[in-house]
Amino acid sequence: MTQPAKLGVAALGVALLVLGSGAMRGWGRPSVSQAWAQSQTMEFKPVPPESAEALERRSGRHPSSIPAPPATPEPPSPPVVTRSGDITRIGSDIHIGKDEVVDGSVIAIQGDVRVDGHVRGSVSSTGGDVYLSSTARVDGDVVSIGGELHEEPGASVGGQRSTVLNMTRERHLRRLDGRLRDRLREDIEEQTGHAAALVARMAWLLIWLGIAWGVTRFAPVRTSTAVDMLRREPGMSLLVGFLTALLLAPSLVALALVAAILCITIIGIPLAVGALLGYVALLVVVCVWGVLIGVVPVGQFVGARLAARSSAAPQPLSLLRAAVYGVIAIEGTRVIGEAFHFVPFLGWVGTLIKVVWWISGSLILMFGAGALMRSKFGQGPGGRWWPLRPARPVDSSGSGPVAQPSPGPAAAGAPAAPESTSPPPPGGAWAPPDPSGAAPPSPPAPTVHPSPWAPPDPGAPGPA
Amino acid sequence: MNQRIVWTALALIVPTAARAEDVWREQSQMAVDRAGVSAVEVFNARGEILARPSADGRIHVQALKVVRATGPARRRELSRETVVETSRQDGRFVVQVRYPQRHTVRVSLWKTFGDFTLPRVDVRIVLEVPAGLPVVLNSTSGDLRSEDLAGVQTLRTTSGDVNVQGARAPVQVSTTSGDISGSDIGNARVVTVSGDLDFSDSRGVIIATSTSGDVVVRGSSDSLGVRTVSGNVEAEGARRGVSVSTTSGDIRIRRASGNVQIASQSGEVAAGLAPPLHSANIEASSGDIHAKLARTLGCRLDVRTSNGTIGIELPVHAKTVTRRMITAVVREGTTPVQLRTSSGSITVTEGEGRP
Repeated sequence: MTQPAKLGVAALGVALLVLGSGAMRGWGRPSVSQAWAQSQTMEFKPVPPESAEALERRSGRHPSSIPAPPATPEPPSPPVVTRSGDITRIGSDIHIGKDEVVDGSVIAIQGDVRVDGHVRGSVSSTGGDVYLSSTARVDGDVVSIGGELHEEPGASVGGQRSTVLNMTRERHLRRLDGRLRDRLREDIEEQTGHAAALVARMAWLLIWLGIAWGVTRFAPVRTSTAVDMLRREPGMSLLVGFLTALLLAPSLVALALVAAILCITIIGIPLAVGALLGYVALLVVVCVWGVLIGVVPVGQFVGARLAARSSAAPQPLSLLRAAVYGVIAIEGTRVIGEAFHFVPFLGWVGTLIKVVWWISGSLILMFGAGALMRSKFGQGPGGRWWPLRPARPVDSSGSGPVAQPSPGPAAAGAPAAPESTSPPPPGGAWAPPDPSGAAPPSPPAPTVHPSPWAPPDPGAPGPA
Repeated sequence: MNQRIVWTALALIVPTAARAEDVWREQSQMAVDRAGVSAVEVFNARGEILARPSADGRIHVQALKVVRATGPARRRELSRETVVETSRQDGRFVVQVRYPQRHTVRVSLWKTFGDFTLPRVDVRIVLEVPAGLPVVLNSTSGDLRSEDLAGVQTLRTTSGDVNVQGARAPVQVSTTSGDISGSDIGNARVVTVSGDLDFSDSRGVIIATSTSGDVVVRGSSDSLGVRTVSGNVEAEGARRGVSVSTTSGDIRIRRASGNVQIASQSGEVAAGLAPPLHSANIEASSGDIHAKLARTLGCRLDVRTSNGTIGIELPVHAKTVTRRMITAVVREGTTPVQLRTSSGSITVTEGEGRP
C-alpha cells in the first residue's frame, strides 16, 4: 500500500472512532440528556443586604405581590448624629438613639444594647440582651450571647440574628444564687451531720460504759475467764472469732430454712419465732460481750501506761477499771475522730480515724468473741456447751471432778446472786460464790498461767 | 471562673465571626407559566422556604443565597458550588437546591482570634404559586412557611419549624423536632415527634399526632382529633366533635360539642361539655376526670370509678347511686355522658369557664 493510501485509511479509522464514541455517548444517556433539556439552573447576581431584606425577614406576613427586583437602595435620611468606628463597652449598656448612625459595630460585654437608630455594622452583646426598636436598623448581624434578642416589628436587620446560650442575666443570676444556696445547704447539712455523729458517738460512749459496768458487775468471773483465755491464746481466739464471723451467713441461712420448715405446722410457728429470737439474742450477747472482752486488754495496757507515768505505787487494775479504760480508749478515739470534722483542713484526719476505728473494732470483736467461744462463755476449758452452766470444778491436774461444795443456805430459794468478782483459777476450776458475802475460798496457786487480775478494786462496785 | 473564661473567649470570637462583610448575598428570580404544571415542589435542605399566592397567575421563584466564609474567594467558591435547579418532572414544577456536599475547614489558633468565619451557605426561597396549585415543600433544617395558599399543601421538615397561615385547602405537615403553628386554616393533618403544635382559628378538621410534643388548639369551628403519647393537649373549643387520646399527657378541653371521645392512661382529663352534644365518653385509667357541664346542657350521666371518689356538684335526678357508680339525669336530657376511671376520682361541676 502506498503512503497516501495508508494515510487515508488511518484518517478514515480515526473518523469512525470519533463518530462511534459520540454515538455511544448519546446512546448511553438518552434519558439524562432529555432530562437536562428540561432542567434549568438559576443564575444569581450579587445583591446588597438592603435589597435582600424582603427575603431574609423571618417574621410577619408578606404582601401577596411579587417582590420588586433588586434595586439600588434608597439613600438613608440624613442623620443628626453620626458616630464613626466601633463602640465597645464592658460592664455597661449601650444605647443608640433614634437619630444616631454608627458607622461601625456595637459590642457590649456584660451589658445590654438598645438600638433605636442605625448601625451600619453588627450588634453583639455578651451576657446582655439586645433590644431593637421599631426604628432600629442594623446592616450587619445581631448576636446575643447569654442573653435574649428583643425585636419590635419594623426593626430591620441585614444580617443574621443569632442567639447563643439563650439565658437571661436574671436567669443566670438565679442559677448562681441557686448554686450558692445549694452549696450553703450542703455545707450546713454536712456540719449538721457531723454534729449529729459526734453526739451519737458520745452517746455510744456512755452506753458502752454502762455495758462495761453491767458486765463486770454481773458476770465478772466469766468475763475474767474469757479475758484470761484471750491473753493466753490470742491467736486461737482470733481464729475462732474469724471462723464464727464466717459462719454467720450460713448459720442464718440454715436457721431460716429451719424456721421455714417449722412454720409449716401451726405449732411450729412459735418454735420458729423462738428460734429466731434466740439466735438474735445470742448474736447480740456474743457481739457485746465479745467487744467488752476485747477492750479489756486495751484498757489494761492504757492503765499500765498511766500508772507508769504517775508517781504513785503501781496497783493492780480491777476488771471494771480495765474495761472502762478500754471503752474510753476505743470509743473516745472515735469521738475525737468525729470532732476532727469541725477542724478546718483536718477533716481527713477524722475520716482516717474512723477507718482505723472500724478495722481495730472488727479485730477487737473477733478477738473477744473468739475468746468467749473458746472459754465456752466464760466457763473455762472444763465447761460444757450444754447445758450451759458452770462445769464441775476439776482438780488442778484435770483428772476428774472434785467434791462439789455444799450450797449455801440461800442457794435454793434466794434470788440468784451475781458472780463473785474474784478471778477464776486457771484451768477452769471454779467455785460458786458464797451468797453470804464471805470471801470465796482461796483459789489454788497458779501453776502455768497466772491470772492477771488482782482482787477487786475497793472503789469498784462489788457484789451485794 | 470557667464561665468567665468561656464568655471572654466567645466575646473575642463571635463578634469577629459575625462581621457583616463576611456575608455574601446573591439573588435570582424566575417566572414560569402555569400551563402544564400540576404541582410545585421545592427541595431545600437548609434555608427557609416561603410559599404565598401569585398575583399574576404565574409561578415565581425567588432565591437568595447567603454565604458566610472568610475571604471573598472562598465565599465565591461556596456560592458557585451551591446550585438552584428548576425542572419539570411528571408535570410537577420542581425547584431543587444543591449544596456543597463537603467542606474542608482549616482553622489555626491565630485565626480563631482574628478574622475567621465558619463557612456556611443557605438558600432562602420565596415561591409564589397560582391559586389552587398544590405545593410540596421539603426541608431538613430549614423553616417552612405558607401564607394564604388556596391549593393543597404538603410540608415536610426534620428540625425546622412550620408555620401555616390562611390555608384554604387541606394541609399536611410532618416534622420530627420542629414546632408547627398555624392560624386560619382548613382541614389539616399534622404529624410530629417532639415538636409542639399550636393552631388557632381553624375552620376545618384538625388531626394531629404527636409523641412528646404538646398540642394547643385555640378555637376550632369543626372537629379535632389528637393522639399523643406524653404530650399535653389543650383545646379551647371544638364545635363538631373531639377525639383525643394520650398515654401520659394531660388533656384540657374547654368547650367540646358534638361527639366527644377522650381517653387517657395516666394523665388528668378536664373537659367542658356544651350543647349541641351528641355523646360524650371520657375514660382514664389512673388519672382524675373533671367534667364541667354547660348550664344549658341536659344529659344522662353515667359515672363510674373503681377506686376513686365521685363528686357531683350540680343538681341531678339520681337513678342509681352506689359507692363506685352514679347514674343520673341532668335537666331531663337524654344525651349519654359516660365518665369512667379506674383509680382516679371524678368530679362533675356546672359552668361555662375553664374546666
